[in-house]
Amino acid sequence: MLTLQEISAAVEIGLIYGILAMGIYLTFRTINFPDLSCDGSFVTGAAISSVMIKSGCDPYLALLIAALGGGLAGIFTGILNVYMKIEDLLSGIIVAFALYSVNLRIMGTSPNLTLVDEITIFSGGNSLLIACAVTVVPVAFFTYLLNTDFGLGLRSIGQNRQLASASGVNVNAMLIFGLAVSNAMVGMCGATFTQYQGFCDVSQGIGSLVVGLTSVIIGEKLLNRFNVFVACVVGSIAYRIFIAFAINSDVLGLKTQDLNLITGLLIIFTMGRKKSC
Amino acid sequence: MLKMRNINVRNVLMDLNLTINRNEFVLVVGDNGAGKTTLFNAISGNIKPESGSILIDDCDVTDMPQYERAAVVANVFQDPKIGTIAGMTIRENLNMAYMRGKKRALSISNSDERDKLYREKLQTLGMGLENRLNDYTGDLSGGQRQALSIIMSLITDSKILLLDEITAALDGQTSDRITKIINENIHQQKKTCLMITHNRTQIDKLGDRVLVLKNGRAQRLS
Repeated sequence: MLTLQEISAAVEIGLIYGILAMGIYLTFRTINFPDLSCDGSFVTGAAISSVMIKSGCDPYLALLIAALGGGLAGIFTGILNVYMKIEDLLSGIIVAFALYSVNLRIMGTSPNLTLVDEITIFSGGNSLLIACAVTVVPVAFFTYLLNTDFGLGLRSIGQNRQLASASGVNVNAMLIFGLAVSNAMVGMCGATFTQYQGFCDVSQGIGSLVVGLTSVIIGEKLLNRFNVFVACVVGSIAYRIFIAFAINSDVLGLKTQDLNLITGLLIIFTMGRKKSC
Repeated sequence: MLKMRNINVRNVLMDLNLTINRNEFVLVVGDNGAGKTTLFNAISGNIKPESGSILIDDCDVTDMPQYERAAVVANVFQDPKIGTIAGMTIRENLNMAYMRGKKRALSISNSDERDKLYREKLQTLGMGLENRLNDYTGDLSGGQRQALSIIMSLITDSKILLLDEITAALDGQTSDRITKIINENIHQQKKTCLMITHNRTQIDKLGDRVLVLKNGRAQRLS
């Protein structure tokens, strides 16, 4: 059985990764762009945040700048697709690939940085409440944004680009904006998580896309047609609790190295069920 | 007024010259491949002509992208699945249309004032859609979606209205009602309207003039 501490940790990580899930939702669902650059922008956010904190900056300011860094990566992905006519999948792959070197540069060529003894947003506070507060802000922002006339335009490009353009929406600009905001959220998630665990690694973004997507799918399954961003966060928490349960339960004999296999099976199970409905 | 001078598009439209006056309703007819839809795409800005010029009220819009031209040109597509957004509610679809040609600000799109306008417009359809503003458009029938897309095209003060075989997906009764609504609105709002049709009855009853396209050229405008 899971201890209360393990459940609490799963909820905290779930809340933080909820920010990632919202970013993934924005690209994959709202603007219908399969953006693979988030594996790189996650680390960009983490790296920027870590370096800033190590140089004595305010940890909340570090979150903001990390989000801007992630957003910049999203803008590059958008430019590759919109202006250089590189396919959507390939644009994301190129940016994620190139970001590995950029992230190493940001981290000063060291593949990992520790934040032990540094002041982070979690220093001296209740981690659960802080994670909650950091997650509520993007939920409120996105919920408001998508109910505005601008947000409707953003949603329209993911569902019907022909009508969107005929309705006066600048599809290219909207696409770049969507990618920027999405990757800003991914970067912010990377920054928050790295402050939470007190450690930044250049390869910690690998698989973040799959984790985010799984959270989105679980959230949609649990809270169908509810507030999609709340659903993303709930999906992320549910995913973390499920993983914690699977890893910590001795019944199935699963171990930490089985994490990716469990995630893969969970996606297959959730998506397979979705199609059969 | 719409003026097209020496328009050439991908060997589909060839040296096309056309002048359509304000408040004029022109029916566009022609065989498959004659260039009817390409003509509409060129007017709406979806396709940029290789040569020639397009003027709307003496303003050259040839190089203006579609999203900017949407302020003066409204479309109704042949396929109602293209003319509406399935994953949005009726209200949201109408909000999209309401903002055509306006700056999309960061203000909440729903309002009582807009709802009142939408209900008034939808009531004219006689389909009960005015009571279903929260319903997803994807849950509507093809005919209902097409009727909605026609209301969407009439909700703003666009100067030019392009109707591409709009009644093809509708039953006879609905088709007659829709045609009547269009006829009334374009004259009330003083719009310039072009409508592609193969329907003999519509050709006989509607429109001020008929444009016959053949092999990408205006064969007759009478």
